[in-house]
Amino acid sequence: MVFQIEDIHKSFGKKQVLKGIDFSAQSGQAFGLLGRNGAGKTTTIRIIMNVFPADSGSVLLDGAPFSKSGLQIGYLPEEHGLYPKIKVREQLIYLAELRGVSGKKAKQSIDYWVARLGMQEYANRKLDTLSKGNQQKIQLVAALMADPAMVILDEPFSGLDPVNAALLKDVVKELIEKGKIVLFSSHQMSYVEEFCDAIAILHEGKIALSGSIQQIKRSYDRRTLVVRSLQPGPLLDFANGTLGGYLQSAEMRKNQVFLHMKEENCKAQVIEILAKEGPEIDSVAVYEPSLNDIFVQTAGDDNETKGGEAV
Amino acid sequence: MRQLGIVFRFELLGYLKRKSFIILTLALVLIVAVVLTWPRISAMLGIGQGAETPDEPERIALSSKVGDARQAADLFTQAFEGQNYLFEPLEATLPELEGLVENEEYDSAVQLTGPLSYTRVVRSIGMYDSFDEAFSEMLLSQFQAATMAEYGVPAEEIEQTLAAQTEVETVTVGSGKDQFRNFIYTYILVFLLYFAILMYGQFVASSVATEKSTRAMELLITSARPNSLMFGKVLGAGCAGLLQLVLILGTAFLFYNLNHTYYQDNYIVQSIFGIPAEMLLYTFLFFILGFFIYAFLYAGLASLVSRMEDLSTAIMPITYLFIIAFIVVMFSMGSGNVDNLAMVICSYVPLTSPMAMFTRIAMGDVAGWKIALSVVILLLSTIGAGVLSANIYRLGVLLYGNPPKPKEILRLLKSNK
Repeated sequence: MVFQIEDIHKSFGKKQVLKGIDFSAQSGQAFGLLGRNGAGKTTTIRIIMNVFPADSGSVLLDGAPFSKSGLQIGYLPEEHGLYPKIKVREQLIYLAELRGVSGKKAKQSIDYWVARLGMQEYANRKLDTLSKGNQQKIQLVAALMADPAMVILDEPFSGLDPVNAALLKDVVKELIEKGKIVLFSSHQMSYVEEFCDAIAILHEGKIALSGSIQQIKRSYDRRTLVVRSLQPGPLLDFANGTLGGYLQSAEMRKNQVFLHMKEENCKAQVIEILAKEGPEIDSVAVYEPSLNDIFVQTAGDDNETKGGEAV
Repeated sequence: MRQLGIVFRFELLGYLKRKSFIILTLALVLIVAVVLTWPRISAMLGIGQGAETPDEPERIALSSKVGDARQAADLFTQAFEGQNYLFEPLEATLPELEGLVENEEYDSAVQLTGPLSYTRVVRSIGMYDSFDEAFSEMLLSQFQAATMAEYGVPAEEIEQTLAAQTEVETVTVGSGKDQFRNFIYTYILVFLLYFAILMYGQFVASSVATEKSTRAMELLITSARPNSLMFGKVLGAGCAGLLQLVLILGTAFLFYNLNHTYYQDNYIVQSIFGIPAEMLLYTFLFFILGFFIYAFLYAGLASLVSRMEDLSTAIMPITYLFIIAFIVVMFSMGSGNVDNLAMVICSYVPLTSPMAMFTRIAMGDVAGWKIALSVVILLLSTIGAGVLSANIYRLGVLLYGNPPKPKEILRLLKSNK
């Protein structure tokens, strides 16, 4: 299955929130929708969830117009909440029935997921007696219980301790293995990097950058070498001295020396000289920007985006 | 439709399982049952003036300035037979009688001061004291009998004349009502309508606002259609309210019928339960229509609120309208004219008509077609309110921040069409 968003526009009153959003996600793949607060992530998700229609553009599944009734979507909203005064299991059954899962099947599925996330002892408690992390897990059960073909997780890791985060990681990996489409929205780039094959960075209602993470990283120039050594000081001196002819600049960050070369094709020579004449080194690698760096570069301009997240 | 059913069941069960709902219903049912069984209970326990276990008779000292007190005492004791008064003749002046009563040697005292006048000395007069009425009447008929005897009327005719009674039968024509008879049950039913509509309308409002403030709305709105959510919620609350109303009224009628022998002389209670069946049907009709129009509007307004604290401010305008209707109805009932101009207007305006038209049907003079017109207006407005609120609800549920102003709502409604 290919899930595709094409040229979505959406305005609220005079405020244009989405100005032409395109991306596509595939079965068995996790797709990361990134963006700063107010960039339009939640609006995009709500259009997918058919909370409100887009002004123009289309949502397609395998090329055909997508309707929510044709496909179960599991949704974990960022602003999560359920009925605080009602027992967990009771409200999960209610939600499952609303989504068209029959009573018996709903119960089985809820019991499975509750057990999978280690929440058995909380199933018959009122929701407001649970901790924030446990409420988050209940919310996750709600997203997964209808066996959705597509799962939208909006900030799924917020509020989870490392143990629960690991559990959630397993679950997400399992979903990907089972061939679900996983749409992932997060500010925590490390998680995105870990799961997602492709990303789209939204900035001020537009896609600022999209594609597979690997390709995006490759698209950055490869003229910088990162050299690790136990003696970074002498290494930096050596770089500025002997290697000076090849380099634009050299700098030390966190005990690593970054060598910015004048041209890409002199990598081999620089490495050779380093190995033969330089101080002892542990490793040399071509620098690839982290997703975090890419995100900050793409979405981190000085123009504060205004307006609330939930519109 | 299936979703609507699921929401409806969830909401209704939510009410039925709620402790406060169960306690309130049980308490009301219990109070109604006990109050209506009270005469039977008190008779069994011998509280009050039960016929089987007579109290100590009330001892009344009797002196006379105008004749023989002993003779009068015998006469009175005989005349009041079965009413538990014991007249004891006494030669005493008024101050002496006052002293005797004050010292509790007698329960009360009577000094005859003329053929048609007397002075009564009591420590206190009970709420239901009917001595003076009966005593005066007896003095009067004795006086009349004595006078007739002086004119030579035979004893038999005197007796017949004095025992004669008028027979009255009132025929109300058209849809006019005996306002006095209908006053009490109308009063009770208007109160019931007022509280039921307001209470259940606000239940709906706070239920919507809770879903929003706890952010459950995001999941609900992505799991079900907004219309199913809102209409299911309103229907659930309405059914819970109707059930409570039926239980309370049903208990009242059941216990009245179980104990009706005790109410044969009680005009007030009889007039309450003498309510025509059609009035009960009107009660339910106006409860249902009134509840729905208010519940829809409450749901729509509540969906615009993000925090519970803002809820009462948001729904205030509509609540005030209802309170004004209530005050107009109460004043009109008190003034004895429920068909005045204010009531006529109120009985066609959708938000006030549930109470105003109901009162006019119960106590006033309204033609059938006017009732039908009012009901049709109300019905159409209720449907309109439902559609409007469903639209507001769909917009409002995901709108967080300050509640929008009416102008903004209109703009949003237009742009979302």
